[in-house]
Amino acid sequence: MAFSILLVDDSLPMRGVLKKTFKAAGYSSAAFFEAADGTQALDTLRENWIDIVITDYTMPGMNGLELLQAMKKEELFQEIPVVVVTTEGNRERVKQFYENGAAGYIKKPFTPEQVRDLIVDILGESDDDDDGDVDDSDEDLDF
Amino acid sequence: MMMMMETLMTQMKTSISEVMETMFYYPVEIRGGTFDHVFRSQGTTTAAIRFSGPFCGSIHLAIPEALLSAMAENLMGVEQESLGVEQIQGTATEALNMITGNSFSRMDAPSPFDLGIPVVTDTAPGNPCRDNTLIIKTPDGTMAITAEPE
Repeated sequence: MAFSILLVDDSLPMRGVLKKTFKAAGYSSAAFFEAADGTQALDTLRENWIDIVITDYTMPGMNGLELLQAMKKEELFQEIPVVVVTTEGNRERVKQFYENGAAGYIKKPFTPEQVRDLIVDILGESDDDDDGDVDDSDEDLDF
Repeated sequence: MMMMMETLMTQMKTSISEVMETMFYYPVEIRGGTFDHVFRSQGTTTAAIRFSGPFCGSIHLAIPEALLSAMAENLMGVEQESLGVEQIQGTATEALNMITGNSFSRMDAPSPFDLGIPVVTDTAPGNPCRDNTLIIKTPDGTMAITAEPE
């Protein structure tokens, strides 16, 4: 079964990059949903089955941390893993993400390998790997 | 604050190289210079971001059109011809966001810096100081970044 991935970022290019990175990391058959902020993300979550949420931290309106907190308050969304993607590398901020239930954290700039390793840890290998198209070695992934 | 600005500019050099190589696949050469040299050129997009924390201010990044389009193509893996204005301008704001966030996260500051939402602007930085300006040379053009404390 292909995964459903919700990408939350106010930056259209960054949502494109994340999608490209997921495809390069072996999740090309995943269904991608997009939202520009936390409020839109919650609406998408209410209307669709989502396996994982990848969210930016700094967004207008509801930011990534507020989205994480809102998801943990709703029983239906509590089990959905949330990965925060941000330029923030400050230890206190990262601690705050994990304390609020983040399943992982990706620091920008990132490589496809870093994204693949984290997502495989959380979701397991994608179905795309079954057809042998994906190189799961530690070598660079080809965009 | 002077010392923190010096540290910021040092960390920014490392961050620019990391961001440009990892996300845009560009090797870069960085040197000092004047921001206006790039900002005043025709067809330049400028992005700005405000920051607050141990000290406050803003950072501006000016990128010539041709370089910005090539950066957007590299970033998203999409042909330049199919890129829209939002994607191209978004590339400028995202580049600035990554460079700035990465630079601040490398600083050993007593408390974290908070970044605003990066925006495209046609307003010039008030008084760009040469000491706080970096000129970034790539194979497809030259861009400039300047930090202005308040």
